[in-house]
Amino acid sequence: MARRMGLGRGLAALLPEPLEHEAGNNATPVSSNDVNEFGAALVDELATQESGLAVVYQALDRLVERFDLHDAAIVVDEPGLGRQVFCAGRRPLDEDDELLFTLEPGVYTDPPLETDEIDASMLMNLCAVALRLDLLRYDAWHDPLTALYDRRSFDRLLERAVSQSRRYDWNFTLVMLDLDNFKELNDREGHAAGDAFLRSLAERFQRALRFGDTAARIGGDEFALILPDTEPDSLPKLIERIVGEPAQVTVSYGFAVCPSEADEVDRLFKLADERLYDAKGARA
Amino acid sequence: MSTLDDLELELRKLPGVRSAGFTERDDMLFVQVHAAPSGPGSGLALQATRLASRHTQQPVAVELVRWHHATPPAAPTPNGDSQEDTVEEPDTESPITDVAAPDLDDDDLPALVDVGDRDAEDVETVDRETAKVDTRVVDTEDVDAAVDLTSEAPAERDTRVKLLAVLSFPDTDEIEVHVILAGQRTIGRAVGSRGLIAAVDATIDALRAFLPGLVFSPAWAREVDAAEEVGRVVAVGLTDGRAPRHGIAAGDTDMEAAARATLDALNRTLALALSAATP
Repeated sequence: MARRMGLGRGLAALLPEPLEHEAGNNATPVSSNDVNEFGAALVDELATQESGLAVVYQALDRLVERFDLHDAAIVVDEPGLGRQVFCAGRRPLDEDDELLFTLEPGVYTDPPLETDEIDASMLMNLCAVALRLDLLRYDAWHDPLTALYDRRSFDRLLERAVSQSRRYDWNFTLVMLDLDNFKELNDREGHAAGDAFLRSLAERFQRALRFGDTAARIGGDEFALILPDTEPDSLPKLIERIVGEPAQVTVSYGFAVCPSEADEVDRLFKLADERLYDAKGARA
Repeated sequence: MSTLDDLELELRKLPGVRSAGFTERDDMLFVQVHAAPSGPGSGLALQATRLASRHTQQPVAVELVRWHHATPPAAPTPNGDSQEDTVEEPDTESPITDVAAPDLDDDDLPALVDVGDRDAEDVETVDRETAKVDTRVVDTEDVDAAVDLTSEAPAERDTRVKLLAVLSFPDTDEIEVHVILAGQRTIGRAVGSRGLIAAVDATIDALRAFLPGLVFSPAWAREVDAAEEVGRVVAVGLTDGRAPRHGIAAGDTDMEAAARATLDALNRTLALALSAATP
């Protein structure tokens, strides 16, 4: 218990014995109507909000507000998630908080709350579920090999970009890239080498692109970019930076500028695709 | 999801990361990442910095806090055994490890600042590893009066080239210098093993995105003795074959100071050239 008392600014564990978290135990003990309402509201939000993390921080903020606390934190430790710590306000920890990390999973508040005021186990379960939901959403949106956006999410992002272009008169360039001799690399050096190349290429995308740019892997060896406020003249240098010199694999690309060349998703794709295959033909 | 939610999720997916905190400091996003102890070669601070810089246009400072167990604290599990997190953790401690992360060395990271064992008994110790390599925006020269790039949009006028980041990649022997001018970010690269000259080269490479005709190259670069509290101070000499340019600046590392010194040497030249090129 001494560790609990050592928490910064008197942060102390809530509900020490009954609410020690049991990994894998989905039961959510409920101790009062208040707890029911509080928990039900959080579950509703978890079901409707796009971000589970946001719900976790809302729960912490509500806890702080409702009980007029100085601070609150939740520590969970579950298979597949590891030990994860959430602090109210998403704030950085100062040195006074460091002992938080020596403690077992639990809900910590400053000042400590009475045991029947809130269900810590429910909050910890909520955190774990929220994080799992976010991870599932992340996986659903991203290509597992490269961690870039996948085709489905890219289509949505492109639709959004076109819509914003119309509404705000923004311009962007859609770029479609195709690796010219990727199959030869796979055949020559094996699929592991091919995968490693794709991962390194994705890493180069991430390093070369600016804040606000979007990169996606839309096929086996096909990538697409959404580049706001980018003139086609600057594309060769960008592509060179991404692919590097000397390159194991060469890249062909096509582009279309929205809205000056096309202002619909299908037409943008078609134009960029035509230019891509012209470029591939020229290279061949 | 908001950008901050995305960033936090991606940070928590990095191996061993337990928590992420955020706050604004002086127009800079301060990101604090807490992680389990790590073996050599993890490059976690660099990975976190890269992630953070992709999610915000602000300058970013990443502080990595690593936790070491002095004594494994007992914690209950469903079976009543000690939890896995209470023993010395391997590098890939966190099961949330499926984010694509570069294989990087720690060589390019600043030295650890050990804030020491706190209450050594039954607690963890913490190393605070502050990745300030890519932190503060640098105001090099006052060129506001000299350049007018955006006369149609005076509210967005920003004519100073600012240093965003200096990153080293020992695995590829590469150094990157990230700069920004009027909202446009560019990255310059050079062979890292060339030392201070590499930082100068990479900075010039980055500046060429704004001024492709920039012909300056490094003549020399050397560290200057300075008081400890100033940090590292580097002076550089640049040449275009005609008039030399000199710059001097301080930074948290030699490479950062060299990049800043290069901007110090060239910012006025760049401002005048851009001004002349702008109708």
